[in-house]
Amino acid sequence: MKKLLVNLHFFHGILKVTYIAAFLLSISLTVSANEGGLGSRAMSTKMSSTSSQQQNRRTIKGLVQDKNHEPIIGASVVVKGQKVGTTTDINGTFSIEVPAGATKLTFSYVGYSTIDVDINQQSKLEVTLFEDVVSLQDVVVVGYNIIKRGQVTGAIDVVKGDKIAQQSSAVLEDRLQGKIAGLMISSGSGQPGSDDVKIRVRGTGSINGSNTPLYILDGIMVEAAQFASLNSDDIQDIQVFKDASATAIYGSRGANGVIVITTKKGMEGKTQVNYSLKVGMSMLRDPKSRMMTGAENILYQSYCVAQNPYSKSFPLMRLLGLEQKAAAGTISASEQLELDAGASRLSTARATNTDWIGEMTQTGMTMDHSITLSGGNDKTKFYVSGSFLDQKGSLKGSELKRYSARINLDQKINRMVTFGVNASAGYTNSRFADPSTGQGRIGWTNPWFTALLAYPYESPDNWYNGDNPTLITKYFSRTSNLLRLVGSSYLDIHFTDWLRFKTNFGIDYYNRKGMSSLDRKHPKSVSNKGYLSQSTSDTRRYTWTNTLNFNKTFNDIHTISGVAGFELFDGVYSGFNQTGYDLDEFMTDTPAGIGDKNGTSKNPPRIGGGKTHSNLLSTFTQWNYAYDNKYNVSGSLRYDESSKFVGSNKGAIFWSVGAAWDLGNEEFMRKFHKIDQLKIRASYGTTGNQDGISDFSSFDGYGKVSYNGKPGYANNELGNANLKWETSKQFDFGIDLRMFQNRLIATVDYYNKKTQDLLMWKKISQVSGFSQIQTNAGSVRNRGVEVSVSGSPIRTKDFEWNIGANITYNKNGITDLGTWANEDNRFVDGDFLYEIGKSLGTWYMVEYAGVNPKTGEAWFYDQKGGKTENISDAPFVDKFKSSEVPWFGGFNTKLSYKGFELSANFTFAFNYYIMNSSRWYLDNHNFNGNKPAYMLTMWRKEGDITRIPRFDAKNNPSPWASQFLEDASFLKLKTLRFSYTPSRRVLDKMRFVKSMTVFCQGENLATWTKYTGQDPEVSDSVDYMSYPLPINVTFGINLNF
Amino acid sequence: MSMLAVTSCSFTDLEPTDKIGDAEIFSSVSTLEQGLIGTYAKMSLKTTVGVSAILSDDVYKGGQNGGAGDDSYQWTYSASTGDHNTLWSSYYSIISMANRVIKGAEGITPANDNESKTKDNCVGSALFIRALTHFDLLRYFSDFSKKDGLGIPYSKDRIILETLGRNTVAECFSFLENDLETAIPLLSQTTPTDPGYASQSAAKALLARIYLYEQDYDKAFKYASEVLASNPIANIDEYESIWSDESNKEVLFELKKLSGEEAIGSIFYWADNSSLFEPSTELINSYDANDIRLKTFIGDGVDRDGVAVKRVTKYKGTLENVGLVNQKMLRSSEMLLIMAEAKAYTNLSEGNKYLNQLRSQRIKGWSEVNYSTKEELLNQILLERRRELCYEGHRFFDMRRFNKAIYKPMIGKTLEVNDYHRIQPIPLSEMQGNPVISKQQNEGY
Repeated sequence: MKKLLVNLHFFHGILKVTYIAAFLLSISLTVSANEGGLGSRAMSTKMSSTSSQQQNRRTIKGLVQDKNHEPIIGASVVVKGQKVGTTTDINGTFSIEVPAGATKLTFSYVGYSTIDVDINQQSKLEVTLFEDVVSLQDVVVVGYNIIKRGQVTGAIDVVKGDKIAQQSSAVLEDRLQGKIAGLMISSGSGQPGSDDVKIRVRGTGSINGSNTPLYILDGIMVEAAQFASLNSDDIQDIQVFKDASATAIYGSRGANGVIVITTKKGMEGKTQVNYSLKVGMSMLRDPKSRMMTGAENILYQSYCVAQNPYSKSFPLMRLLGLEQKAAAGTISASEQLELDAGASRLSTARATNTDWIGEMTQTGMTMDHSITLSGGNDKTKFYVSGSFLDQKGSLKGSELKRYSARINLDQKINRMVTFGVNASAGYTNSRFADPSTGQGRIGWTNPWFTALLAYPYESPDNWYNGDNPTLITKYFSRTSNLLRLVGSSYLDIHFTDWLRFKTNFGIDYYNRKGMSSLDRKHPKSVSNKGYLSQSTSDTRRYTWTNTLNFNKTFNDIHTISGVAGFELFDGVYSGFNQTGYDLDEFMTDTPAGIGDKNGTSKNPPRIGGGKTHSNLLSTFTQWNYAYDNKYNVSGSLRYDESSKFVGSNKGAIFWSVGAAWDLGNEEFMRKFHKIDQLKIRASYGTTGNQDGISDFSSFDGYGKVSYNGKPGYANNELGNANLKWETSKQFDFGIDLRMFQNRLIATVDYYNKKTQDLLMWKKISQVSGFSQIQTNAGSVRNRGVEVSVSGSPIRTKDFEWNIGANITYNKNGITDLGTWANEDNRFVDGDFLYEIGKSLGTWYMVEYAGVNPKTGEAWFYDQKGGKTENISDAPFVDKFKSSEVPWFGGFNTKLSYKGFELSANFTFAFNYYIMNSSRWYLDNHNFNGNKPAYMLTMWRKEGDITRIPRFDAKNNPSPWASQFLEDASFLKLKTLRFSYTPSRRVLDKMRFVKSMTVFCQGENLATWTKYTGQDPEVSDSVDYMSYPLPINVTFGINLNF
Repeated sequence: MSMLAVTSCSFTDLEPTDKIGDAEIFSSVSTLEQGLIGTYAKMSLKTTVGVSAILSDDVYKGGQNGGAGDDSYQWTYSASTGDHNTLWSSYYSIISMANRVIKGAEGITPANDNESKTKDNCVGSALFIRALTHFDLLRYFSDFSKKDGLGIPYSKDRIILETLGRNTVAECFSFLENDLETAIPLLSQTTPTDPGYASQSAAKALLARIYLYEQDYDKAFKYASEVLASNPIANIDEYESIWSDESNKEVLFELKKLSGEEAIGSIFYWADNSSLFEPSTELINSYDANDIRLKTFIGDGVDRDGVAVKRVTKYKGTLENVGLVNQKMLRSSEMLLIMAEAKAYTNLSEGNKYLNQLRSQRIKGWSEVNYSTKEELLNQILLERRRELCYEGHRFFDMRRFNKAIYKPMIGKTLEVNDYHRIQPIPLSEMQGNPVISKQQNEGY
């Protein structure tokens, strides 16, 4: 083994060189490929030999078109039950000789539903094919094995590219939301291009590890984030692998499900040119709870000062307190002087009412151009695209510009050898309004937060204070430039038609440069005179995969597909950041403006950074056997060895078995001729999860620190050499049903997934210098049912109605907590209780009991169900719903009439709680800043019945308890879209345009929820004043030349 | 060469990138010294100084406080919530590194005399730091007045998964004394030429403080007077300059803080004028108008919202680095006050003498006053300790030592002498990871 590895190292070097060479070569090939594509106008339509020598043949001619009366080129026309067939030509027409006994013709085309048409006595046919979600004849790559979709034994869902390309968000996951059963997605930010998305396949399986699925782009493993740099027009389809029979082949990275993105390839034929343009607007909704006006806020402050004359929590309290004293006649002479001096401040405040949210929001704009060229001949196929996206967010200071380009090229050298390149470059340039994720959002650089909290009696121009949100847009800037290059090159050798070797080397590289600066004129720059901070990070991951594929059909009924291979993965990250102070008045966005570059002042420049490295070595094999399209069995085996672990924990084996039986192809089912497929599937297997374990957690260590300018070492991590990956075992049972010539498609899956050896932070005695150690303990189970149904209840020549729906029920439960939970099989971490039998995300909090009318203090339920003002006398309880979402899904409907189309997409999630921490900040008397108008209903005197406690409550000034836990169930109208595709007859007047679609759509138009925060959809279990998702309205046009 | 190293092991055997292991850090005296520097670097004690100030009656809540330190300010902490979590974990984190240095040194053979001295100094310094931090833990988490009561776990080993129980208060005191007495001959600085590092004077000063808490007044006096003999207090003209770090007169031990590191003054207010905690009116009123400390420690300012406020200016820092100064941990003035207090019990006139000695260097035109009863003198010493040592982590513990209730007029609350909140609870997180200590929680929690 070791010797082999030495060789592998050598190959690495060679491959890197080869890769660069291939990249360069690809550029030159682009040119020739284009020429080739444009030059060869002749279609290569293969005609199946008509073997029949029967006398009673007749010829049927006809036209195959889509529902827009667009001819379909290359559609297959076959006499049902016989090996006689042809394909349609460039005009969509065909001519076929049929034997006398034939009664039906079968029409099929990739991406369209296959239909059977009675031929009777006709000699001319006009056939309309309807677009299909997925064809059973499609070839799919499951892991590394290539099989027909009909032979799949696992739970795999597909979303086609055209469904993904429609939305205007630059965030890929946004576009998948509600479309796939078992896939739960929520976006946490309206920041254009934000990565703050939570995505879960079949529930949460890990407590401290990552729960994000593995992303595979054109065969290589890529980083889950930063998909904003990818042009979604390039996507052919996205597949989601959910069960073990599909994911086990990804071994130690497959446990959270796998999202496989395939980009478009060129097709033989005339060069297709496609241009699309989207122009959109976006706007934010007003806060659900109205904030106080200037006068209301002054009134609020006077209520507060009446309760505590010492307090300075709000700026006008002192003066308002003096006013109250003057009115009561108890003011002293010196106080009267102070009041007189402040009189003008009070009167100005009383005359001012600023709409800070209005000051900080704007109408967002989106402009998205995308152009693609694709085509090829029998030797060369190409797909080239370029796009430019410009989004201005609806919160001031948020912006995204994206430039992207892609080339996918396949070149056949000879009968045996093909090579190709998939390469994309994306460059994004963002300005951020949303500073961070989670708790990081609470701060003066978050314009949404500051706009809510700014005092309405202050005016934007005369308020020189760090809390003035307009000063943030004026003086603060935060940008990020991201360059992402994802490219792979492959060499494919078909030794025979059943044996094939492929080597694929892919790199996912990205470089992020973040810059933030604060002008010296900002109030917070008093001491350091402004700063400019820049961080650069570099991530390089490569995957080198070598496979030998076997695929052969024996006696027409036995199909064996298999693969064996090995794979190397290696990832390196390095980051470097530097900050300089005393920023020049005019040069505010360049390091050149830094005043002290040499560390001679009292605010010397600072640097930081670090690097890390991890890799993985894998060998695997995967097999699928199909008998007569009825019985399918599959199995996979993978051995992974990871650099994150030491000793015997380094390596592990993952495996799966699966079987499927398609009753639809059985003789005895022929009488139910409406059934096209009735497949029963079952699978079981194991997968691992190592994401979330940092690269060197198995090692104890000392990091570099300094004291008084001298360098030193200090222990910073308690390594655990026994660490290993989390392992999931999953059983899946599913039924796929297709009826009425694929007009009704339904899938039901039951799954039971148990994740064990959970990565846990075991609490240890802090006398050790550390509070916890990373270890493997406990297990979690996710069980659930996924149902998805889609169909076309009405389908005529001109009118079509499509509906689709999916719903998932997932039940999460802890099954084991290892040896380190307390005796009662539970432990508490933060606001959550972990207990055997309970779901993850079980909230554990003191229960709020309102406000004591007598004292105005907050009340909490005590042990006996009574009420106490002392929060430490109140027990923590687990009676609340978990933050884990049990019910979720989506549904859509589409009406098409001639070229007109109206569609709507809804998403929903039900029966879970999130912590509305935004409200904790807003409702908190302790925090400076404006309050929601309802805070005026605060307790003021004995007997007041209210839910808002008194100001300066003595026992619990800011109780963090159950009053902020809220049911976040929602139903959202995600998109509403209207489009028109003129028929060819209309288009004939436009010379160059082959087809065209114009559309108008709205996104995030309506949300039905009881949640009191801005949007129940947050990427975390806690809502921290994130940049709300805006309403988008987009107009667009697609042109095909 | 490196290529060979890589290929000789497996593809997936990677060396950690940003950290080193025991084999490296304890390989020589010079790397051991870097380990000691690391121990100093861990001494980020802003919070611990801050908590003791917030617990005491020396601060009022400021306008931009936003709820910071509320549990401590209102004395509403429980085992699960409150600042004691940070106290506990940050002190023990320092202790763990000190213990690693002490244990790691055992395996290092010095090459020459110079190295031998350096190694001794590393061990002595680590012992000093271990004592300093354990003593603060003892003050916060135990009733140090009860010798056979529960103290804190005194950690003398490099531990990972072991779970220590609490030692008795008496045991803790004896460990503290032992650590410091062992440290003194090992330390290379006799007097604090550079007070940023441990010295024999600093170790003795800490011993004096510890003996005072133990009520062993003879030993407290002995060590305090030894320290004072070689480190006289700053006089009235020098006094202000020690707070701006222009002079380190009378500073026995301090934590050096450079630009970008924690600014102790930020406990009270920030560069943008945010006011978190302000000096209490009671403290301000305790000063004589001629007291040099009044203008040094208390200033006038305007908070972020434009409201006129009083400010704690003991740790003013500079315009460029507001609140950033070296953190004073031990000073000669405290030694003089310890001597006065130690003598108050046995020799009133000597006690009066030391108190007058300090006052004459702090209050302009001070004329000697002698108190005729022990109680009166002790009360004056308590007052003087408040004035001199405010915001240096003493007031709250002095009120406990003197058995006084603490009153906060701003919130109208009193912490009575028998209130269990006078002693911090053992953090819940410690109890969860340490079954031994989970049965040793302080009374009331």
